[in-house]
Amino acid sequence: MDVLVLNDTGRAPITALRNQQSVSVSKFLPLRLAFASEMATHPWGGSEELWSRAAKHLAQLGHAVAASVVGWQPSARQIVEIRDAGISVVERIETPGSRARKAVRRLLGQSASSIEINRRAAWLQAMRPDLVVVSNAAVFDSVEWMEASRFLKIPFVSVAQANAEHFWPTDAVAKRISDVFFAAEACFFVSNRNRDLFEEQIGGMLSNAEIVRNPFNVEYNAAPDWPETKGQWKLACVARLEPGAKGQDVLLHVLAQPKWIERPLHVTLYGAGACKESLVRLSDRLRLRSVSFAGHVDDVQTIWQRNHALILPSRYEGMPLAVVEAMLCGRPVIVTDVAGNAELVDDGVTGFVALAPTVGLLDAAMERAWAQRLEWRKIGELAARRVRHAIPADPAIIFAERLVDLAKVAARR
Amino acid sequence: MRFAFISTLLGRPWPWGGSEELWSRSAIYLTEQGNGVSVSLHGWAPQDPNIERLRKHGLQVYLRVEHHPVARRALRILVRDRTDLGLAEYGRFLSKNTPELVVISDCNALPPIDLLELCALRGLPFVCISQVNREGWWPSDSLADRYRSALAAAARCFFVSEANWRLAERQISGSISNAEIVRNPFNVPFNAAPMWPTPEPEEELRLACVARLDPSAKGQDLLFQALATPQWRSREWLLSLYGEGPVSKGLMWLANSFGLADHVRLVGHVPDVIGIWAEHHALVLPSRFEGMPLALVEAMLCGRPAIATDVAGHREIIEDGVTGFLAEAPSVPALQRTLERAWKRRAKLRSMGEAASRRIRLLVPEDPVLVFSERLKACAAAANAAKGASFRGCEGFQRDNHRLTSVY
Repeated sequence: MDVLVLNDTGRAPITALRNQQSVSVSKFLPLRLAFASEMATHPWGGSEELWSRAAKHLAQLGHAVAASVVGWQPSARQIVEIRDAGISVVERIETPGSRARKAVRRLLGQSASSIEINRRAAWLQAMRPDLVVVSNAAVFDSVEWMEASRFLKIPFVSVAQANAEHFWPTDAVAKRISDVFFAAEACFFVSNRNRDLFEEQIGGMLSNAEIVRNPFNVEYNAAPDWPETKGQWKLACVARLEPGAKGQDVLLHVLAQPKWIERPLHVTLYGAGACKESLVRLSDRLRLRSVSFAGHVDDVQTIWQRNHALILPSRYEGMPLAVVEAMLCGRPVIVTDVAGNAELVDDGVTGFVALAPTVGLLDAAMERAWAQRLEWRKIGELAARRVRHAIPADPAIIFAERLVDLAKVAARR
Repeated sequence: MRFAFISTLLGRPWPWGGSEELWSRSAIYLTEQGNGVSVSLHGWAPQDPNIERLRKHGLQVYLRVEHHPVARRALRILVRDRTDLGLAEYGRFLSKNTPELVVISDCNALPPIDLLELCALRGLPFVCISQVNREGWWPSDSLADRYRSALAAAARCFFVSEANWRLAERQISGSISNAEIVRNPFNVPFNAAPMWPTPEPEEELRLACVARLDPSAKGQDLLFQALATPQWRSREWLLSLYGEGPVSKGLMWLANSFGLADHVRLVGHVPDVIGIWAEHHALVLPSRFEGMPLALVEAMLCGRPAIATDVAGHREIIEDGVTGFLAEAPSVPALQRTLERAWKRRAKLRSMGEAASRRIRLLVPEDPVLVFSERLKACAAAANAAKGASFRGCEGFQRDNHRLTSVY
């Protein structure tokens, strides 16, 4: 099957589509699929893995795939990769236009957002895809995309990678949001708790909600050797260095208690982020000698060759990859009970759950974990078996297949 | 003395709120004492009665415009002025009558950094008031850096609870040694003592949640979920939600969907706080984050215990099991456990309320406005005395901040 190459406007050449339909011996009908991502805080992130891998898979199958992402200078490596996979990628630069245009905008006091909505609608209108997949790092981020799709009567689905209690919409906004979510072919959430919270936030039940699993960055059959203890236990905190979301400050305050300082325990913080210096300063101020910062590590499996368990003190989440990856690698996890963190974890059986991201409650969970440290290896082995019941080997392909089904159902209407 | 007050409240969705009481009443008090007081406010609701009240008391009120005139925008483009329009307005306001002390009141964790830097660069003595703080806000390393130097230049940083102050120190990863705790004025008389309501809690437990209808901050959703158990449904209790807010319909929907329609009622805003406590046995405050809630202080002054989450200043005035109940965290299981404890001890609520009313009078002064105004006068006097010599905060403050050059 030929890979369709889209031109710069994102429009698939019609002739190419027709030719393929008539030549193809199987019943394969190529679809046009548009992916839109609104993640704007970083050039790339865990939230982008699902849609991008599904898009690549669909392009390989011969579907016409285009994507619109927030532009960065330079582009993320992963954006270059999906472009190489035959996907037409538009990188939106959020400060558009010439100096004259900017001047006019400033004169009129016009917001950048209305211009952006129009540009999105124009892109969709030019392409007329069979399905738009709107992916958001947080659930309320891409209402504009969904409104544009709805206005153009193009079927769409949404993927929400995270949700949090502090995004509570006002009554008026809740109405606007629930209107578009009800109109979606499907609303994908990464955890039940994210969905439940969202239903509370918009004041309505979503009959079109579905749970989707994210792809992960370790082998499905990964089984790194259990690290030798050598008299010291090693915890890894694998999370963006951003305490507002990931709660590393709570962890450091727990570790600053004399009883934890005296224990043979080393905690390594993996990941990069905007608050690195703050966390280093806090760790210095608390005189934590057994805490170190390892930065971002591409090969996740190496983290689990060196560490015995995951500690994740998040304040809000979706369904963290770090938990899935640690469990796949046979390591117990110590997590806070927010969003999907605890959905995969059976407290005391495959990991340890702190009721909330506070110093007292995290300490209590870590105490329970510490008391069972000689069992960690067994707990990890059980976690490795259990997580494979919940997480499929290739979530992106399952998601891609579901998208094709949804597009076909919508086309039949 | 000349004081300039700046409130950074944006006016949307609320033109006025509990965060505005302290500075505005102090501003009025200082005017009445013969000081020159000017005020800068967001001009979103120019006819707001609270703003009228300030004018009536003889304060010079300057409203910041929301939409700047086309001519001003055009001029700025011509001269390539890139400063933030809002900051430029603060700059003009501060140029007007060279205040001896600038009082910046913010309804968030910390006032806007640009504004603090502006005062510091101009060598204007300033104090800031933070009315709330929350863990969800965390500045990036570079912003934290700027806050550390700017806050060090303040004459005083006022916080409404010690927990807010300590959290701010964690957020900017440095100590704030010029911090001070301040108490907000309240809307009940200091000697308030409403009658204990009938029926008694053993017959029907009456709870009041006095808080803005905004679950992201006040956590009413957690409370409903905690009460949505067969056990609670079969009990005799009533929960009244007082206050207004952006999520009133959403909260009604939630209460219904949890099957609590018979137990929960939305009352709206009530000016008569004592009236609330004449009808209710206890306050429930399931907040996710706080400063030092007025509703809590007022309930305790009226002799009612509180069932609250252990966030911000709650623990500083509630002693768990003695003057109220604290839930470990704003989470459903923690609230459930705490509500259960309160239910089992409902016969003791009255005596706990009496203990609360004694305790709170040791913690808050009879007239917080008077106390705060005197602190402001002392700050202004100290700054005046230090003049001639260099103002302490300004030493070492970076003057190469390009964003501020045109305002400066």
